[in-house]
Amino acid sequence: MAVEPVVPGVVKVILDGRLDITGASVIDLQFSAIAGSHKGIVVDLANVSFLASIGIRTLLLGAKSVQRRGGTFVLLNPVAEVERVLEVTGVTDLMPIYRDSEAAVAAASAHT
Amino acid sequence: MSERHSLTLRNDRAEVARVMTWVDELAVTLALPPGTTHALQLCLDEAVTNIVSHAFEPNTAHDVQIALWRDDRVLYAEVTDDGRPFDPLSYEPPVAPRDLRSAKIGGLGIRLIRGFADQIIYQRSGPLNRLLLSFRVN
Repeated sequence: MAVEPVVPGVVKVILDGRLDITGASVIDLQFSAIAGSHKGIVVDLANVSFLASIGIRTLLLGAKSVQRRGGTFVLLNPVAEVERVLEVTGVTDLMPIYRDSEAAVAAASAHT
Repeated sequence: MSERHSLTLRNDRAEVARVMTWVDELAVTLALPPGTTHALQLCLDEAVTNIVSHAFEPNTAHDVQIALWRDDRVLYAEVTDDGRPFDPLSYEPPVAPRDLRSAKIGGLGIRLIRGFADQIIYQRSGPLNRLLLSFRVN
């Protein structure tokens, strides 16, 4: 997991590998700390090859935390399998998915 | 019909990773396309995580069995455990939330199994839960 500051209050979080029970447990604490301290989050999923419900839990908790403070949480570039998991679980109705990094950053910066 | 491949796990959440490695290896043996392998891994991850997390009394040792086989068009995965009865087909997952505020955390694993397996059959036979999942091999 890598974190890139974008503009003040907004970060891009770059995740990689498998967000299953093992992968999620590695990032949970840090992810939740970042979500709790920023108003705009872009989660870059391009290098995430596998997303299980436990990883969706991590994303949902982060998104809820950002939303409670009036911020914006968006996803960037999931691979096809991961996007289908987001669709089947209804997550695509809860957080927007962007294909373009600049558009994602602009959306996440809207309420800062 | 291919040979039946089987794996026995302990009821420990760390064992889920072994299932994934096993499936990665068998995907080559069984000539599974990537989409089928992904659907299988996802469903087994969710099913086995549910079983080891909820099926047994704490601090008791149990085995969970997985069997895999295929024919020309369909891949079959059977998961067997001797935990408390649980029929994933009768479980009603929470309705899909409309917004983040009302979104509940949980119930997503069953939704994923229903979304990614082409057929789900559950049977309680004696002390055993038997879950048979099938996937079209495209």
